[in-house]
Amino acid sequence: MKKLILISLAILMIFALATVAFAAAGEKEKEGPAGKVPARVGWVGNYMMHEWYQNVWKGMRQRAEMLGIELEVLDANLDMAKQVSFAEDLIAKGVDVLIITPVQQEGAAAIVKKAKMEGIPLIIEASAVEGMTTMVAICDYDCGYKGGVATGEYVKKNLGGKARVMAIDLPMLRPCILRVDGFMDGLRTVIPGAEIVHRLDGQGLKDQALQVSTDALTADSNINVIYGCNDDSALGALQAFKAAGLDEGKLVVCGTGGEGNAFIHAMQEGGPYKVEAAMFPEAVGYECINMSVKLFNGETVPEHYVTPTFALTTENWDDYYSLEGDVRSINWDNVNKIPREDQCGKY
Amino acid sequence: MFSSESSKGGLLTKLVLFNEIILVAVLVVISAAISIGTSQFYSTSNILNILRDSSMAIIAGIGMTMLLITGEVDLSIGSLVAFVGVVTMDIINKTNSVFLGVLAGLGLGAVTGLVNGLVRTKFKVNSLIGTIAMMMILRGSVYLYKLEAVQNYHQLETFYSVGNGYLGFMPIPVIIMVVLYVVFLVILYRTVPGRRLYATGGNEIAAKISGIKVDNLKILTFVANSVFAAISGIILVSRMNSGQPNAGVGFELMVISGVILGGTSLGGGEGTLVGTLVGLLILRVINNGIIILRWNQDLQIVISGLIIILAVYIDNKRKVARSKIITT
Amino acid sequence: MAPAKDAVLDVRKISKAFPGVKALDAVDLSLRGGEVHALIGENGAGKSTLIKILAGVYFKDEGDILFNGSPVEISTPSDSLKLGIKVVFQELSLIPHMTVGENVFLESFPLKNNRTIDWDVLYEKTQDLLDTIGLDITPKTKVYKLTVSQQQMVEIARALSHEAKVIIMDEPTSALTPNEVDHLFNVIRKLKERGIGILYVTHKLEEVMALCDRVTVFRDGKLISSREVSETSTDNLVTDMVGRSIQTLFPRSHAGKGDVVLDVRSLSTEKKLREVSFQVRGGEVVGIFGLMGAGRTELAKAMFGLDAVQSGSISIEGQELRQGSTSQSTRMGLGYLTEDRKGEGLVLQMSVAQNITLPSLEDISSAGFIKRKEETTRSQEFVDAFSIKTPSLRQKVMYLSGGNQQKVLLARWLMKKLKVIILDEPTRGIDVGAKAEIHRLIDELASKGLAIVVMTSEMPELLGVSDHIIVMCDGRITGEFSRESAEMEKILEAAIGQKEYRYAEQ
Repeated sequence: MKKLILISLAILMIFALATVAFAAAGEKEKEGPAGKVPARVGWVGNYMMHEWYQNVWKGMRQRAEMLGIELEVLDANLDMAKQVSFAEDLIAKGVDVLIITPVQQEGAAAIVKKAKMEGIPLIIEASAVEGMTTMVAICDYDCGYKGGVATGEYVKKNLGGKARVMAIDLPMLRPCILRVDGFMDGLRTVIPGAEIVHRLDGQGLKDQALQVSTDALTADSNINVIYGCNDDSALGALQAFKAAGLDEGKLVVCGTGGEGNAFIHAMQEGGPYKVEAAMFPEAVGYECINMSVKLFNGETVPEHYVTPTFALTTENWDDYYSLEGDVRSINWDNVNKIPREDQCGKY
Repeated sequence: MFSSESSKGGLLTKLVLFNEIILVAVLVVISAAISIGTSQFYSTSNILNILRDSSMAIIAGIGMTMLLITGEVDLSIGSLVAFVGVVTMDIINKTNSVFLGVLAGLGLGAVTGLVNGLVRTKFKVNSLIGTIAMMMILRGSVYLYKLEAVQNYHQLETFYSVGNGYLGFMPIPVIIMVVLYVVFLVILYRTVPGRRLYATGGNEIAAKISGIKVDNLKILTFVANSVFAAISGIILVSRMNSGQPNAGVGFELMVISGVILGGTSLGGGEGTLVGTLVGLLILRVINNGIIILRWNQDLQIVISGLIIILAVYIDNKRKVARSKIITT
Repeated sequence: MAPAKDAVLDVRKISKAFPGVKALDAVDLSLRGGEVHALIGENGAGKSTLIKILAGVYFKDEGDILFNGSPVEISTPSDSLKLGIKVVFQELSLIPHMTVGENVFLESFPLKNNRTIDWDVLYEKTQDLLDTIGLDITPKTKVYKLTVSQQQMVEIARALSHEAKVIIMDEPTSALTPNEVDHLFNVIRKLKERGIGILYVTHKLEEVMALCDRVTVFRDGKLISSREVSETSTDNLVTDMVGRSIQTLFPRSHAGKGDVVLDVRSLSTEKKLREVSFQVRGGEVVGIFGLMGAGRTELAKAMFGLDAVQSGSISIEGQELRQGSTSQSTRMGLGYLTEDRKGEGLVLQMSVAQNITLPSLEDISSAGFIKRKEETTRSQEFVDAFSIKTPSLRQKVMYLSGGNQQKVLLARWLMKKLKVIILDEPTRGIDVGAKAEIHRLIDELASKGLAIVVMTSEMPELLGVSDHIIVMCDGRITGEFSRESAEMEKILEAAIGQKEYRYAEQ
């Protein structure tokens, strides 16, 4: 009888020790090798075919390499269900931090919950999701605002101080509306009487922007400022202006985003494209990694971490970007010096 | 006994039978209404603008009309326009030759049409489904080829003038359109292949029995259709000054809507180039009018949609009126 | 015409005009209860207009309609049904996915407490009706599963369910086999016994002589004659219908036979044909007979290259045809007039001239351009030669009558220099006058040296037109007869597959 009790106690002890050891080992795995930088970060992107996200990825990659972090990237490609399953895959694989660019806000809330349950720090990129810890994104309004201010200064100096604007918007998306509103507000701080002559829906596409601008210009061609809520829109409108035979010397064009190299070419041409309300996609990726490190170390982070936006002009763009053939490189030092807002002017 | 029976039915029925006249009347009415609303409509620059902009759709419409007459359809032309634009720009950049760029673009169009035709005739895949698949393949492939837009490096004068130049006071795209239009008007109505197109669409078996090589004819028409779309794509890339992978979205729907508005039947065997011209002009004028009248731009889609419903309604009425007249 | 005694339906001086044409001009017709009264006439004679007036689809311009002696107004189809007039149209009006019972009682479901449908009563009554007619199917069968003949019976049952007193039948036997026709006749005789008056509209004069008590002839909207069947003959009726005497429905002037033009050897297809072999000489008319499903159309399609052939060969003037190439068949001088002229033959949206010239476009064009003048001249020749009734060469063929459409198809083939022509049911659904003309054309073609194959399911036509008769059953040739040795009973035996007859050519 005594022997039996002793043996069972011993077995129980061994069992208990094993469980604790197991648990401890598990903890250790989650903590990572050095304790300072996460070993693995996963990003489930959305629509990564787009130039913008290609550049976000570039920035993310570069920063991850700099810090020695292993980066795994998956593309949900506009499919919410895929995004959820990819996120689950990454968590199961054992990423230390998860980044997602939500396909949809409601669906992404599920991922937020899951990450919290599993104890995985989660960063949202681009658009807010309920229950999130932190979001890394630009401020559309402020970006447009900066572009407006720089454009206003050019108009004041070179175009006689009066501004008549043709704005190519994408009213279906709130961020785009914010950009145009921001631009006009910024413009008006320099030129209080600035007028919007045309506010058109170019659907964010160059050929559409071309068509609607052509029509608008025949109704009223007396404009001297073109603003596009993305580069394609601005460039399409510029083509329409040229085709209408109007005087480019009396025009200034401001684009938004800098998602690809088109704006650099435009600025290099010496034409009316003088201002770019740049959003530095590379910096978005860069900051996502920075934020991952912070979260991983348990630091407190703001709910919305704003990545830099800045008005690039023909004078200063090469401080921030350089172009070799088809490949552009970003000047991290200068970009990192750009002051960031704590919060957006408008949401 | 039978000629008199064809005058059965009311006045409305008779009018509805003269499809093109109604369309022209609609175009005139809409244009008049817009020009009352704003004096800019009738300005030379606006008219030329409308013509230049519609020339791309009308050129594609020539091909699409012929294809629909044979009873087939092609939904891939929007994606093709984007791909052709990107390829053309890229080749011009690499070879500094507009000729080679255009050749490449047209070649891409021809190959696409050939594949569409073979998928339909050899693999017997319904052309709606087959060309939707092609649309997706092309759109995906253009992004594989070039993620970013292809900029115009050399700024060649010839290239610029394709889309933006003038011959006298006439924009070059309009001249291209007029030439193609007249040539194919003659081909469709006066030549043997034209007649065979109508027969193939009207009754494929009867056409076969009459010795028409239906499969070959369809393949040829698919190729022609895609080449026309390629021409539109080249004009577009010249106007945009860059090859955009995201160009041409919705182009196929707009062209097909205009063609159907013009009286061409989805079932095949019927259709006129005149109708297509007027139908596409009507759609373009509506879009133009809404902007220069400063109406809410969202109305563009709504009004176009309503006009198309009206067109199909009139088409149905025409078919019913016709069936009442048929005796046997 | 004095109204007959105890007429259940009496039509007096009815006129109806449409813009440009007077469809009916003061016609009379009387129908007794318990009689089968035939109404015949060429297409456009006004028969279908009268039927539609009686059915309430059209409204008469002038005249009276008397029902059981009292004047009535029929302005809507329900008026007509309420009176007890039921029309069984050629295009049956049954709902395919519903059961027999549901269709029979479609407009008059028996109700429980005036609310819900009493299905038991419905199916019971349906069974009774089916028994009366002698149709051996269960009332719960879905209609699409029935044959055309059975569906027709269901329509008749429906008429009976409404206690119809007058049943009008429009071309009832066009889609029936000889057995089914017999069955229909028996049913009609039963209806006679119940005192129902039957108006029987048809093209088939043999049926009139076999089944009907009286016969009325319309021509060009006017009443021509109305007689007891016993007092008249087919020739008289034809004369009345056409307005001129037709000496014979089957003229024969061709005599000589040339060399073998078409040689079919052991032709087999996957689905139907089994080792079909026969020859046709220049100037000879070979008639091919068979019941539905015998494989005649499959044979035609295989010969022409529309269907795949498993084994065997087809040669024209010694040259073998390549499989599946219809364009080669045409080039080698083979022409095919399809059974389904609208579905497979004509391009309905194209004009008369365009349809006629369709296979011959290269002949009337130069450098790819169609020579309009030549197209007009050549097609006009045919329109004149065949008396094709059309307001102009530009009229779209969909507006032509069946007979004229058939002539357009014939003209199409004759415009090409053909060596062999296959005619599949060339006179189906065509009135007597046009039929005779087509037979005359066939004769003319034969005398010009063409090799002609005529596929038909009409015995009189077969016997009248052919030099040589081939009978098919189930994809095989079961009988061959020369013109002299042909006998109807033997042909039918071979067609059913009961016996096989092989007569060697002399």
